[in-house]
Amino acid sequence: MRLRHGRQTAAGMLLLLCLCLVACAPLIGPYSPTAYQNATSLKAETLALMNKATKPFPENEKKVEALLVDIDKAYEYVHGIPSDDLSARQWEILRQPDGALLGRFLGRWKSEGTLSTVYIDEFRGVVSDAFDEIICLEANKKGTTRCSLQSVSGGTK
Amino acid sequence: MATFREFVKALEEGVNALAREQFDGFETDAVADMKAFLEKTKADLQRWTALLVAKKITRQDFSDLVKAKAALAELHALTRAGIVLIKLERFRTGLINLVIDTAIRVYL
Repeated sequence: MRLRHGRQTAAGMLLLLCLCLVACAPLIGPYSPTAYQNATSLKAETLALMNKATKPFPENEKKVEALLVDIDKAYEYVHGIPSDDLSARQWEILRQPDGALLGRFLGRWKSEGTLSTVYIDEFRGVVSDAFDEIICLEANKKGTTRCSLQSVSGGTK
Repeated sequence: MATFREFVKALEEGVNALAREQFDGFETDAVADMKAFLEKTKADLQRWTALLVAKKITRQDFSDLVKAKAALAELHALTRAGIVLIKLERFRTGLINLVIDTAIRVYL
């Protein structure tokens, strides 16, 4: 009798554990093809626009503004996915107007008019790697990939 | 009818296999990844220092690049943290399926 009661208790505890596992919110948001697409296409657009920083900023001001709007949209999209805080934080670091990445580069382009080719090339490498980090995290949500390792051990450009 | 003990034993074996599937080699990968990141950072810093000495970039350029690299390191840390959560989430989902499948296999 006591043994049966013990088993029932253990089975009940196991059932509770299962319910808890099922009921808990996911630890991280699911893979989103849209988020992946946003990151890959914005990487290409951003790097192409950065290449134009040898030309006066006013010539490209509208393109810069349009790019920043698209990046804001990409951030807002990821920010709206439940449990996707890490990806949202990555976009936030990348887009911050007073931050060290796009904000710094575009801010200097605006204030100085043009930027040197060497600086552009080197900064593009870092921004490219930054996008790769966002892309890597999204890709890993779909399936295990070593993209991050390849990204950081590959070329800068 | 199978006992609860048999069920738990079968479950334990499944959990071990699941953990191996999700986490085997993870530590090695993480260390290799961090080493690769540090190597890349070192190479970048050496190149930027050489460019600064050769006056191909300004002090401001150099400072910007180093700060950008620090921001990149933060992004990289977030990626690694995300990959850990992804693995834990897959383990959790696998565990739920394992409990259900094991119960059906052992009792039915």
